[in-house]
Amino acid sequence: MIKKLFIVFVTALVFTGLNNPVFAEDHGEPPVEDLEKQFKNIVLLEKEEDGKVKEYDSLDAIEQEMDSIMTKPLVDHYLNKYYTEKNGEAYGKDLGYPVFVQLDEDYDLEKVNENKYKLTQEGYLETNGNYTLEVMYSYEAGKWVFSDRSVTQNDDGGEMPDTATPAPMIMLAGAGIMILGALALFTRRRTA
Amino acid sequence: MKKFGFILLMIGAAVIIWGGHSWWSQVNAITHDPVKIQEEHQGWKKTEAQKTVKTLERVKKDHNFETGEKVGSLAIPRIGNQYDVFWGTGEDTLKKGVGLHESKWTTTPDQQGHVVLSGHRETVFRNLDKVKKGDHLYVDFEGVTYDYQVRKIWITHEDDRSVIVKKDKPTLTLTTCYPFDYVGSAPKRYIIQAELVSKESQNE
Repeated sequence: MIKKLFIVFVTALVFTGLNNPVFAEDHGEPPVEDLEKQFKNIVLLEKEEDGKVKEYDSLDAIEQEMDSIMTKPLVDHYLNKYYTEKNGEAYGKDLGYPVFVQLDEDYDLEKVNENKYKLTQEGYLETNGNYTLEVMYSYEAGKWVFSDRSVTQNDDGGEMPDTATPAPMIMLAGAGIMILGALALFTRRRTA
Repeated sequence: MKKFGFILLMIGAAVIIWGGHSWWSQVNAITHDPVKIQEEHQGWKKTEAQKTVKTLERVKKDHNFETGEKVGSLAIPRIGNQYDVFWGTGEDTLKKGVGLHESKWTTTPDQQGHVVLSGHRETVFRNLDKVKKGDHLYVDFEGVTYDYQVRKIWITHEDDRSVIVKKDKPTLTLTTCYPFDYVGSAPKRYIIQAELVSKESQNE
């Protein structure tokens, strides 16, 4: 009897567990502020006069830190963009800095699916003019990380080239002139 | 009157020959050889999305090309065409073939940013509507082949100023007039935008 009750209990537990979506993938929203502060810290590391990074002694150490907040392609991108290695030590490249989320300004955080959120923020920088920043967050290996960051300029761009060749119009004009000529010849003959 | 009619006929014929020659020489700026071009670019059939190369080595290079000078080539295996690419997108340059747009928003393929190539819809780019998302576009520039994968295709109005803009990622945009069968100055633009997925030195 006890054995039967135990089987019923375990079966019920497994069944309800499998069908309960609460256990599924509700990871909540990504910690935008924390991630942004960590991102800012890692791309703006303090450097000595010759560019040598103070806090980390190798690129591997910086890479490891970046790994904790972004996906591998982004790590490669930011590591190559802002740091280099000389004699086994990490040095910063003098290439400015990326556009950050302005945490004290409004932004939209949109849920793409359980494992993805997209942040959009419009802003203005002297170097970039009006821009739209898009940050994608992915839930990977039990935590939220950046999976993409992109900036689009909103200012007017350039005029597109005129890509219509006048050749067909020139030929049409020639045909028109020929028709006129033929009419002139024809009229002459009719009235002769 | 007869003489006047004859003169008009001659002028009309000369204009047709002139326009026809211009059109014919633009059409002949295309190398159409699908077998050879597809063989030379083996990866062109891989249309599933590939990872964008986000960073090109930042090398400050001042190119001193003359307007209309040949600077590279563009190959589109999907339509089996290859084109010479010339510096600038002015009227005279586009008569030669495909033009590489020069502006403060755009750059050359060896630099991080936005590369824009333009061509006439009636001649060099007349089959551009057969290019699909995921297709590859190959640009040869200064001894390196840049492989771009098409991400987006759209039609916009001719005054759209959001196409030729600065880009963070290495991006290639092709522009031509639209509709393709329109006679005269078409009111729209056909845009193909691709991102760099690999590059290879031609010496390797």
